[in-house]
Amino acid sequence: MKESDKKFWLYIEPDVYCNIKDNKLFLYKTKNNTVIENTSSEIISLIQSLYEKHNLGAVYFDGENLKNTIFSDFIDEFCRKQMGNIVDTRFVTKKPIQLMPVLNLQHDIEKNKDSVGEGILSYLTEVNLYINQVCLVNCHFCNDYYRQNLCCTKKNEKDEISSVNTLKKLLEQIKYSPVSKLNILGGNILQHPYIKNFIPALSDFKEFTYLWIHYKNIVIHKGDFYDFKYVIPVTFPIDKTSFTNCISLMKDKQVSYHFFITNKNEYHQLEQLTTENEIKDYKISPFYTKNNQAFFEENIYLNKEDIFVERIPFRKIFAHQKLNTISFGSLTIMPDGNVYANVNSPVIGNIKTDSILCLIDKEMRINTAWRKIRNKKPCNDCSYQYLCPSPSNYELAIGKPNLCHVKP
Amino acid sequence: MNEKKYLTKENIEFSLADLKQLTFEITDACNLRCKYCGYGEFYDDYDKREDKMINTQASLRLIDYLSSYWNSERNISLNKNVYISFYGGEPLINMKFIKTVIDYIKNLNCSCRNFTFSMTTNAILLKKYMDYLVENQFSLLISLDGNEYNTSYRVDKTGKPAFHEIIENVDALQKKYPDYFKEKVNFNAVLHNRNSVEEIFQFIKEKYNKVPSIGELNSTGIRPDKKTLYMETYRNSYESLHQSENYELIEKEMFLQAPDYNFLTIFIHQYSGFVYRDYSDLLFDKSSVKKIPTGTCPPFGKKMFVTVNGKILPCEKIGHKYALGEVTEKGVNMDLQAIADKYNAYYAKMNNQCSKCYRVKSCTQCIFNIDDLDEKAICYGYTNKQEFSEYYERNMDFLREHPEDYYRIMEEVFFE
Repeated sequence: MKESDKKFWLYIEPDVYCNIKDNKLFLYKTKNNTVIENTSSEIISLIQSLYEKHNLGAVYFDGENLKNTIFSDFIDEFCRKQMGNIVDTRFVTKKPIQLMPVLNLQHDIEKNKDSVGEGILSYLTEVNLYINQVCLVNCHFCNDYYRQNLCCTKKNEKDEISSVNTLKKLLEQIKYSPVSKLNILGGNILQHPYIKNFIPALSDFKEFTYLWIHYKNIVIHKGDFYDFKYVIPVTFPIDKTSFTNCISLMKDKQVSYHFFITNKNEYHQLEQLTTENEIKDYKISPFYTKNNQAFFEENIYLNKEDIFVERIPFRKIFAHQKLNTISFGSLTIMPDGNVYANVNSPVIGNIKTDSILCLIDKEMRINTAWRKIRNKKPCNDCSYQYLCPSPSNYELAIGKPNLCHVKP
Repeated sequence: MNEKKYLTKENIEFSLADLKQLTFEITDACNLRCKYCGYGEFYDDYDKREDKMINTQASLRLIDYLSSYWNSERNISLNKNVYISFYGGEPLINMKFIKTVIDYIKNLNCSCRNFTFSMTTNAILLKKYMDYLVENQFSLLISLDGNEYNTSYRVDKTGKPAFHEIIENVDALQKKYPDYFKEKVNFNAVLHNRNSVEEIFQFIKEKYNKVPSIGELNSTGIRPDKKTLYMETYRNSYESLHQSENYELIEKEMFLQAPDYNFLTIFIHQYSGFVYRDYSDLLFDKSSVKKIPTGTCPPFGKKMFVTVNGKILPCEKIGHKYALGEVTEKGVNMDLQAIADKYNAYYAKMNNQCSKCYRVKSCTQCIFNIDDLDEKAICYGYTNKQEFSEYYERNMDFLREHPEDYYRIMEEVFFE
């Protein structure tokens, strides 16, 4: 019997993400990272029929259609990429329905505002506590680094400091939370007048506390270093002597270096430094200066291949539809007590007067940052809208809603 | 004992801090003598009924005990709703207790909690107390088994059927408070050999425009000498529904109250892979999280039930011999470590069956409803590969017939 004389069931696998926009079909198989794109109206209509509620992912497909290469080529690719299949109705008599990918988020705030407060402390995974803003080092972009990536800052050089009581009150509230990173930042935290009282208060949280101290401040410091984990921001231009001294001073400590680079030359310098000094634990954060657009376009902006460089599970696609995967779960507390869900967003409250639960609840409701998703133009016209990472602080710094070459 | 730890004392502390419902059995006295009552002639797994009233002071101490958890660092919620439920016997017999508890709760220093009051009542005293119930916005579940004949097992102490009295009171409530009735009143029926799902549904739907929940006779703790009578009285809700002429229509309207949809929802929620509890589930892959054997709720994971004698149980549906603690006027006596050990021992015992069971992911079997738990503990829900395949196909067949209900369940059903 010829294929064209057969009657088939056509079905789609539930792990296939489908997006149809501007007469363009985009199918993404989440289990094997393969893509099909097609602009044929016949194919679009065929796939749309799979998504009609009464079809539940499977439709009757007449083999006669296979005489048309538009269908046969598509079906061939569709089956080859394991996105679905056609099966002979003589052998599969029951319609092969599928449990289609419809997100059911039980605590979805958009579905039930009354249950927002339930279990919300479990959302808090990171707290960034700025305890002072005093520092003797003069980094060129001191007021801006922290707006793009976590970093120390002098900001307005106010005398405001966090008190030990504020810290203790905070720690009490997050004791049973899933916070896995408590970052303590300044200014230069070592210049905090009560740092000697601060550190013992952190002893029960040692495992997930990170003390942020600029490498030049490490060198300036005269005393011993506390037995904690350290994150050391390194900004350019680098003073090699200070940097080498810093490495030497911290050799017995658990340290991660964070390099803030603005161009290729700085990248090469850091490569050399990390190799020469055998630094294994480091992170590179590109920094937008307003004058290095080309560097960002070349290295940060995504093209289509970048989007699919790693397999994207369905969970992540849903996450991109519901929350900002970069800022969700993180709160930043400034020395004056003001709390932000993102340092570039409006303040959500003050740690001196608001409980952590109230702050989380407020952020969940008013959404200054945690649920900011890629739902604005041009992203909402793009097939890859929810496959791309959530909007980051770079978008805000550059003043562009998308950092990509797909929809420039 | 070298048992695998599924549950720790800390887990139980978190459950207490996150308690969803506190139910008081405020009296074991009842103004009716329903033949099939869980505390009636069919059963022997409950404390002797002595027309007792619950100890008020002890109950207030329990509220203090729980509010210390709700106000503690272990509390992870803001404005969480806690149901304070009154259960009997017939709770309206002990109105003094209800008023005392409600006053106490209203003055409780517990800013992180909202409280909702609820009650299951036979409605005999409803007319007398309805103003108070409405004033406090009680969620009311009224027991009614259908029409006059359907409800004929609900009789008073003299054996006189209570149907007309119930209806008169319910009608009075509906007439005086129509908005409250519409929003807060629901019906609960027991299925037996004098009614059917169709009759119950039709009567309550037509008379009150409500979809009743329909329960079967409790199947545990049956007295050996009453087994025959029990079996004569028992009816299976699935079978009863499918014997209805318009079962498709009734089932659609009953939706989650109907067995097929209830099972289907569990199936879809467990096997679609697209149901997430909260936002953090979207961020982290929790598929490798260890599964606790059986479908038993963790202690106080859903509710806490206090008997009229002060025994503390995780639920009203299980035998009193499984009490986890007690409350007296002196306070709460509950050893959380011992509870964790007890559950771990039960889990370990069941794990041998659960680890081979194909339905472990969608299991709804409560340990405490397994006969002979302290001895052989055989789970009758155990499912082998072939049975699981049949279970899977059964649900897929149902979906094939009702494809749009897949979307209805995914888009509309939120349990949390």
